[in-house]
Amino acid sequence: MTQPGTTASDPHSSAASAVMERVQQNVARVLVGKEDVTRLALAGILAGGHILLEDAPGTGKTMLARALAASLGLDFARVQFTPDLLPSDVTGVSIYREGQFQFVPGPIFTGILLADEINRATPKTQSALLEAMGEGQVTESGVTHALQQPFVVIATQNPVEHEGTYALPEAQLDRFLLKLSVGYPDLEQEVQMLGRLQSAHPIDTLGAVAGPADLLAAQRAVREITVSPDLQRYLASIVSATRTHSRISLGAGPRASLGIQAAAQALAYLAGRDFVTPDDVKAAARGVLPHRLLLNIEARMADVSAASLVEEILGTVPVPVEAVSAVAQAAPEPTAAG
Amino acid sequence: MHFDARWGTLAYAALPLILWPLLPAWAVALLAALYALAARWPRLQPWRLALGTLLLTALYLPAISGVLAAGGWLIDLVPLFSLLVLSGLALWLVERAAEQAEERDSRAWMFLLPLALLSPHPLALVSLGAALLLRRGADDVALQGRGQPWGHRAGGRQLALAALIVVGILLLSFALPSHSLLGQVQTALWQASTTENPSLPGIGGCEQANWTFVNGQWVSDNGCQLGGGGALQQEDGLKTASPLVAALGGPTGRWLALLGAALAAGLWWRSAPRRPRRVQSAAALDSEPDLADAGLFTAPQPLHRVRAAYAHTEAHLAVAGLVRQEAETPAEYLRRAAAIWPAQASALATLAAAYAPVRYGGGITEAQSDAAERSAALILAGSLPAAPVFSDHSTADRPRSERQGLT
Repeated sequence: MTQPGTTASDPHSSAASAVMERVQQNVARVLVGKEDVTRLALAGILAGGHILLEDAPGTGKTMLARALAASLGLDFARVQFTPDLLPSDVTGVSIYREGQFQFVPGPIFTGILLADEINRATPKTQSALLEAMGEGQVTESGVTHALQQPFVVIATQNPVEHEGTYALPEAQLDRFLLKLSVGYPDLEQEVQMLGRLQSAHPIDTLGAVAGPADLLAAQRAVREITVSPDLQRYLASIVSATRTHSRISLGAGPRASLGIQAAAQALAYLAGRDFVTPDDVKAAARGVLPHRLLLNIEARMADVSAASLVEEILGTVPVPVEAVSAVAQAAPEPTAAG
Repeated sequence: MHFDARWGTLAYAALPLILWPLLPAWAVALLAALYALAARWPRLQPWRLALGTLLLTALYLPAISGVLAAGGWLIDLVPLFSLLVLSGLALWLVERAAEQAEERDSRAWMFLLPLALLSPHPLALVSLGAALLLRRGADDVALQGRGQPWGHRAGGRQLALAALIVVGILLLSFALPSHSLLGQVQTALWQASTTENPSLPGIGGCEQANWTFVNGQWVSDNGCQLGGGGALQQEDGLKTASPLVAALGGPTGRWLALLGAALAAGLWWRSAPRRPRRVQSAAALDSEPDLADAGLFTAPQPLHRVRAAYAHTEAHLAVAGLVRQEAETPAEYLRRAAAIWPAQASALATLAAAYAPVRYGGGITEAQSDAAERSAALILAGSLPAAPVFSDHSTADRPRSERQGLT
């Protein structure tokens, strides 16, 4: 007899999961050895969030965004953020034509918007993304224009070079569900990449293996993934711990809790499960929390990273598991041990 | 998928329907609403029994004035009120059985409803069936304190309670006041509810009604109520019940009840724990461990069996020196164990895969449950060399794949 909730018992859910599996495999044709960050980025998209990629130049941030857009069959637009970029260059502008103002949509009216080197634009331009990322719409000259759905912003920034950059404000950072790092490939992966890209770049021929409708259906399915009440308490405890940590001056807000839950649901979905495990919560927290924390001066002086503090918190918050001590007391020593 | 919450709420709301012949429609509706609310908001559950009993009691408060007006004594009403309390208790027992069965992801409790409809003594048999569902398994002993409905009580208490309800209802049906007195009480009640015939003497107003034999009482479709059995009905020359009611109240109904009881017993037997046998040697388990031989996981439902299997394994690994850190997930912990004892890696992986859906909200198949128990038996049977001492399970202990890709 099959109990309810069996893993991948729902044929529709299984089929949708298989589509997302194909997306990951498709992206892997372009990015060698980056399955984990691909999975996390896809989880962020499935959770309806936006993603901030922070890494050194040439690690594949742009390629990841392009490959995801191509695989998901979404429209793709890239905006190179520079200090002279204006908000209207992103959102669109009204032009006086034939006796009336007409709205000319900007590159933000797309499926996946790659905001390349977002921290090079002025805060004013960065803030132009706030409404779009938060509410899926753009207001220009008092008129609100809805963006297409799904809409995902994948922004990149270089963590090393800070000259001529404007650090993203907290409110803007909070709009990004996940902050990920692509990371350098190891030696073998780099050799494999050289061989694969020797003659032509596979991104040029990368076809779609899913469509916007598949993505929307998957996003709906993700929201149905079960999160047990004690896992929700566990999740909230993690976020709460960031507010009382001695080295954190500003902890994560409730939006982070929602973000972790949504990302954990998406990770469970990608794993073909219809329930979230504490491992999903931990993996999600590692992507959702660090960029939302404001470290105090002592932590910054000691060069402590937010990621390491999150790791410390994850290492202290108890995971809901069986009360094994009660079992050990109640049950006799296993006879199977001989 | 989980049993949909809306259907669950509806099912719980339907449970009070088994009191339909005994109570006015509005009272049943109130009880149904109370049970639905408690299903929707678990905070109300502790109050459900008290509120339900209060409602039933309040329903019969006018009987006090009726008895006094008829020259009777209040003590004459004790059996009637006791019967009501027992009815409320039986209903509560059924509700708890349903909740507990649902927690175990079992739908066996569904048989309670058809049983209630078939039986001429619905609450008695249904509460007995509920008690069978609520009995504790071996894993309840092992996992006590984890929200089991009966806490640390002995395993047979719920059966004893159900038996008490059965005996109480049967005995009280004979101990009810004489039919004439009760008739007057019910007439008083009936008079209070209608002004059409304010001066009906005795049980006169009840003669034109259809009568149903329920829970040791004769109840009419206009609110009259009598103790006693079929002979009493004949003596009073009451109107014969409808063919369906007469059939259910007669031998046919009893056979159907017997059939329902047999069905309940069959379902109970099917989900009964396997009898544990003592393991002769660890070597016997090394090849193909038998579930019964493990002698540890004898819970009635696969969900509980897997939880017990995990708990025993964790306790066993702790004895071998590998204690799970409180912030370590079961998957992380079992992966760490697999790294230390590679020979057990496969069994540990199987157990981890089975445990996660059980503990964190999904479900599991019988086959997966069996596999988990076999894995646990293998782990428990193997002699594990002492684990190296770990200071913690910090980042370095996690596989590289988990550390990569995150800032």
